[in-house]
Amino acid sequence: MANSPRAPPILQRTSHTPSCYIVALPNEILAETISWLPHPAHVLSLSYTCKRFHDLLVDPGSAYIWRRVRERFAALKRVATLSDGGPDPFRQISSTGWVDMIELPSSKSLIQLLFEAVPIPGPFDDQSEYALAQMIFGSKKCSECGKRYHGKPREFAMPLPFCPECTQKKPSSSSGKHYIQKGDALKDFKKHVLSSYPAVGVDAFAILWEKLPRIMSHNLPGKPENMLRVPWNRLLAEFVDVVKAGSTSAITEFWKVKITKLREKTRLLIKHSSRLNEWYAVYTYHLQLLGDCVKASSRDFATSHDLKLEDMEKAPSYAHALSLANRQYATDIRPILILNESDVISQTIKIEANRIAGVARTARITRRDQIERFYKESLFIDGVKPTLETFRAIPILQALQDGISTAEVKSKNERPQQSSHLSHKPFSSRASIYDDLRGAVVQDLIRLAVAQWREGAELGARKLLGFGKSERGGRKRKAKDKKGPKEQASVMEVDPSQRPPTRDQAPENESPKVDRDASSMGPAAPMWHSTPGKLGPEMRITSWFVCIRCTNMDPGYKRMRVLDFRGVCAHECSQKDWGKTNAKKWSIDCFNLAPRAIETAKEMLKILRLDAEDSGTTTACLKGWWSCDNCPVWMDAMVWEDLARTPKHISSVRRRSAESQK
Amino acid sequence: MPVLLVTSDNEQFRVEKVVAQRSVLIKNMLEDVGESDQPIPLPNVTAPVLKKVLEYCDHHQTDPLPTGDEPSADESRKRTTDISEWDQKFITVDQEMLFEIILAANYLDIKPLLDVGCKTVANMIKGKSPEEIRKLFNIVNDFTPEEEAQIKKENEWAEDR
Repeated sequence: MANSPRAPPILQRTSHTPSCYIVALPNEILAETISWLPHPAHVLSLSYTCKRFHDLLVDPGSAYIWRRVRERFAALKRVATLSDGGPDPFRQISSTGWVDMIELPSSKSLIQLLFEAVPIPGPFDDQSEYALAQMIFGSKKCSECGKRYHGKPREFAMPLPFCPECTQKKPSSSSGKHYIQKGDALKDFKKHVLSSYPAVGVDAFAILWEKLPRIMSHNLPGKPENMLRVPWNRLLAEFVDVVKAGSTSAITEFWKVKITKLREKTRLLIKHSSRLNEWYAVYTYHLQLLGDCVKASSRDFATSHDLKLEDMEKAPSYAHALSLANRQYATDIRPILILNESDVISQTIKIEANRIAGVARTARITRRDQIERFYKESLFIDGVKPTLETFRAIPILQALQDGISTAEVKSKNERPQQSSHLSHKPFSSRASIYDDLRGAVVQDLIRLAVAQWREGAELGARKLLGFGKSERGGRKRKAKDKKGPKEQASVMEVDPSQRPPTRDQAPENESPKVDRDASSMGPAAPMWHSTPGKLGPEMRITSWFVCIRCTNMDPGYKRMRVLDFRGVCAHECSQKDWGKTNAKKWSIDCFNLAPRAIETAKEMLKILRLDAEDSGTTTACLKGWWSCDNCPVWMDAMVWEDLARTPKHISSVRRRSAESQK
Repeated sequence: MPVLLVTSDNEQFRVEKVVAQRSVLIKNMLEDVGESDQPIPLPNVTAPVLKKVLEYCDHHQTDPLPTGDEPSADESRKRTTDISEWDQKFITVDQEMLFEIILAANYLDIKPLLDVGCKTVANMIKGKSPEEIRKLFNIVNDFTPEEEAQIKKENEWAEDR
């Protein structure tokens, strides 16, 4: 080597583009380097990079490089276990990357005992080393689906490229849809067979073509005829060319000789391919072992970094490392993972957090749904029930909704100390609160809370209807109510000195609730403990009005299309709505009680167990005292009819407010 | 007795004979010339590279010399692609230096060093896709589109040339 005819050049340094030093190496050093590659697939990869390497590696003179790599790369077949009484060391070895041990001379005997190294069978006849490597490991285009893949063809005897998926999907078909569609199928196939097995010979090919299916059917399982679904006419033409020159007897002789030769050749070919198949089975097993080792080392890495393997496997940088490890046929992925340690860890942590959040989210949704179902299944007295939202606000249900279960209070306390892979457990088990909901204690608590709500709702209803505080028993009240407006007034105990609430108070907050569910009056959360007092008539539910002339009801409770008392005062119908040019813009005759108000009031009376159909009661609840912002005078007790009778006062309010605005 | 080595850029290195003799080329030269004070010219090696190579020789001066018995060398080749820790540290250099060392080892005929260099390059290649290899070594893809198509086809059909 010292006296190499090609004197090694002093490498040129170029300032602009980074130099390619490897291409400057003389062939023998390149060959030396390449023969250190551990796998023929790596050599193939190198041959795809540029002309120089391709030419070098395709050259028949470089066969020795391939042979060296091929011989060194031996798949391992497990031949024995140490099962003579002692524990099977295989498990332990597997987790520490036993394949590495093949490099250690001291452990050679153990490896020899456990495994047999099976080198790749040599090329068939005058098949080149390159073609052999290409056939087993090369990049190919699947003849069925057209996808590129690395690996073996379906059959070594009939090396049509078939990707593993297609092989799995169509285990018997070898026609190769993609391949047949190419039109030049026959030519390509011929070329292909000739290149993979050049020894078959060109002239023999035609005969082979005719006889192969029959010969193959004797030696190969499946239906080789299917494999050869190709245009026979063209084949015939080629065969005719071959035999055109000879006489009949010559052709017969030619046939005899060729067929005999061909039989022999085919037999050899099939033998060779079966050897390759056997080897490939060992190789697959070897890959599986490598996969186990990589998995074990991944688990080691995950455990040592306090990560969960399942989460780590989803991290993109782990996937990258894994593909690298697979391509390197590495037994230990850890050195590769350590290169990108921070990425792998951060991505895994993110994935884990997402997963846990996802689990928690699903559990939350499940719990929500279960509470809803429970709500629908529950029976309420008189059918008077809180809204779902109010129901959810019951403290015990809120706690259950948040995922705290009676049985798991303990585990919740421990959770912060638990390692990550355990921490998701309480989440998943807490997803279902079905049993919790039906527990006696929870049921009692809920019943109590609903009773409280009912009480609160009654109070609220009273307040909104202007009945003031509840006296005991609705029936009694009803009797009193019936006595008429005057007694009613005393029952309601309105304190004249009490100013009505200002505009921005209760009604704004309460009315949307009323709209949503008339039977469950009032806001949800504070309902449990609030003890409503009296409410000024303005704020009551019965002081909702509508303008019967127009739809231009700007002020008031817009969403409900009703006007409050102030709205009535401020309302002006537009000319268009009014219709008549000489008509007034405002008249008390335009307004009426909102039907919604009457309906709601009736609903609420039902809650209070008062007779909604009884006109006295209805009148009583619709009755109110009106105070005026602009004068300290209470406008007397009145129902709507009374109010309609005093437009003077209202219009004076309107006038005064208009003046003050000016 | 020290030996005087002269590099292509005319720098002189005085090294112990036992160190210099790790190079089969120098060993043979010394045997041919006999005891002499004559400096040995190494026209294919630059000073920085020789310095690095001598560092290797110095560290490995007590190793048994390769006997030139080929089969045993092949045996060891089969066994391991591992590189010892010191060698690994030694060979952690930029690509230019790496290939210069390989060339120098080849020229000076220092088989173990050549092996270390080649193994290192092989380790760099191993497990990479063609595109990754090109990027790593700045290899220009000099296939014409037709050739590329041809290669792809070869890949499909495993054709021989």
